[in-house]
Amino acid sequence: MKRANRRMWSVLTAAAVLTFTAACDNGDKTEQAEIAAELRALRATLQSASTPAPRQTAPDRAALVQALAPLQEALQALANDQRQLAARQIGLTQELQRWTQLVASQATSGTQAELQALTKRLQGLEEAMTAQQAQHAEAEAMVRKALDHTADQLETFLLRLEGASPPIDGDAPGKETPAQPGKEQPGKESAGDATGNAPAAGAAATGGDGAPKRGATGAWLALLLAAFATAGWLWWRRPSPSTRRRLLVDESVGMDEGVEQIWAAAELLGEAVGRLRTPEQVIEPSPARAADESIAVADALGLDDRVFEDTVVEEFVPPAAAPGPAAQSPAETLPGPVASSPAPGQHGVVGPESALFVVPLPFGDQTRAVRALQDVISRDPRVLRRPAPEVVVSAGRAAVRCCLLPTLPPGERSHLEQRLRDAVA
Amino acid sequence: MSSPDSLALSSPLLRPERGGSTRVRVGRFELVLEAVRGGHSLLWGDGREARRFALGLGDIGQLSLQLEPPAWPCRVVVRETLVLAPGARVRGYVQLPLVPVVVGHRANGQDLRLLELANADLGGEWDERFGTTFRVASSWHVRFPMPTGEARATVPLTLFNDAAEMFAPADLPVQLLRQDLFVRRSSIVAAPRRLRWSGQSWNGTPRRRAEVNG
Repeated sequence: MKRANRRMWSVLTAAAVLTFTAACDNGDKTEQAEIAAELRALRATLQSASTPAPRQTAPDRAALVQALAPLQEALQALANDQRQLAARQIGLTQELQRWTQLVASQATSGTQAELQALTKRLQGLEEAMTAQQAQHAEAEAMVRKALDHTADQLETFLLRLEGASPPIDGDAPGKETPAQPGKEQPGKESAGDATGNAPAAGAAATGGDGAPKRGATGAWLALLLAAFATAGWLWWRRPSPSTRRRLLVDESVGMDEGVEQIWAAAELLGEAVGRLRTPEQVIEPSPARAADESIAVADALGLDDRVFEDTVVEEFVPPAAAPGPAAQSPAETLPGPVASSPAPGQHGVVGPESALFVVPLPFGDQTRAVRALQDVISRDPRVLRRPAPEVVVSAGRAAVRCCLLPTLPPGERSHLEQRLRDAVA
Repeated sequence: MSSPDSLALSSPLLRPERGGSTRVRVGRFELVLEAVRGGHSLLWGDGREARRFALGLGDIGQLSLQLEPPAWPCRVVVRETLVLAPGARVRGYVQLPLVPVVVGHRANGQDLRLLELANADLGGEWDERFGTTFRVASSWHVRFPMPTGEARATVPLTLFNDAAEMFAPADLPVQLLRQDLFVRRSSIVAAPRRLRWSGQSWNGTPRRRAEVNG
């Protein structure tokens, strides 16, 4: 647009200049014709310059649209998110309304009484807790007061002890301090008078009133030092916490009965506090507890202790010949007559009692006959299921090889064979 | 008050008069003893099959039907899956089939085992390591099972896992002896057993080897 305006201005300026020169110069017609031709040419140029202008804006718009395309997509995505959020908010609002209605309906129904009761119960518990806290605070205050009182009494006692002791401070009588001018020291007057600038030496030399007082002070000082030394020695020789209990037990022989009771009560109290402080632990089942449970089962079933003791489980040592498998081997611990009569080379267990029954098969469908044999032999409790019985058909006869229960009477064995024969008959 | 499903370790099987019969029913087992010419006939059935025995009783005064534990160790396969955490225990009940045995009582006090009627629920197995065992399937009852009249013994079991790994037993070794059985709550109950899994084998058995051999 600016370029077009600029061209238009330049054309108008040129036209004005030409008009002005034409007006100023009244030349011949040829010049006018030239001017007119130039004007036409300028008009044509202007027309040609004004027509391509809209053509140039079209690519800019397309580029603008292309440049704004990502922004448009983002705006569309944002609008979609907004719509989804609005939908979710509406859903949540509806759900909240439903919950509110549900709570209101429940509160208004029969549970309102329960809620009130629970609220009252909660209030009662809070009040009880507050009262307990007040009691605890009161007890703590009482203990603190007792401790303060005890400390005061101890301090008073110590002060009294110091007061009863010989004076060692500067204000004590007979204290030999450097001479202080302008301060009266009544106990020092005579000595000062007698000895001049050396009262202590004079007192020591004269052996006047200062000599026994200084001796008593030294004695008290020695006594105090001895007490401190004894206390320090006792502190250094104090037993470790681990041995305190043992020493307590050892020393309790010579203790007073009341002291023993106090210490026992303190011990119990300490244990109780420790038990309360330790977190609850999972109690692993102990053999004794397990035995108690089994006894409880026996008691519940009406079986007396004698019965249970008779069948108490004992540690069983597996046979040495049997290899210890890594997998479960439950029957390894199973005692039995077979395991107790070992045969050489078979892990201490004799082989099963095998039997071979030869059953003649009828003419016709031998497959059905074999199936009947297998059916009988698989259901008969006298036949072991492992090793699995085998039925082999050969030359019109079936050979049934199986293992039987040990100690099977011959009659039972014969009966089994007859059952097989009857099955295929 | 006795339940119709109550079990007894021993039920008398009275010898009938000639031409008469006596009948005893224990669970699904039923016995009919007939006095016939020249002897006695015993008809036994368990609901699935029946067998007939011809008995010559001689000086045997009375007969009884006794429920005895399996003669061989049992490997109880629990129908539920047992899982024991390390150091954990579980308590429950399993049921083992009992074997009906006809016992004759002589006048001098001697008892004779006349017949041992096989129980089809006891499946015998044998392998080289463990010998002869009975494989028994049972449910793991968390409560004392109600009496059903079936000839089964209820065995209270407490399982321990002393190993450091999880343990899911494939079967449980249980062996019962006759002196372990008692009648309680209208059922036949065995004395409680404890089984400890040490990681490689079960430690602890109901009986010592010497007792079994003896």
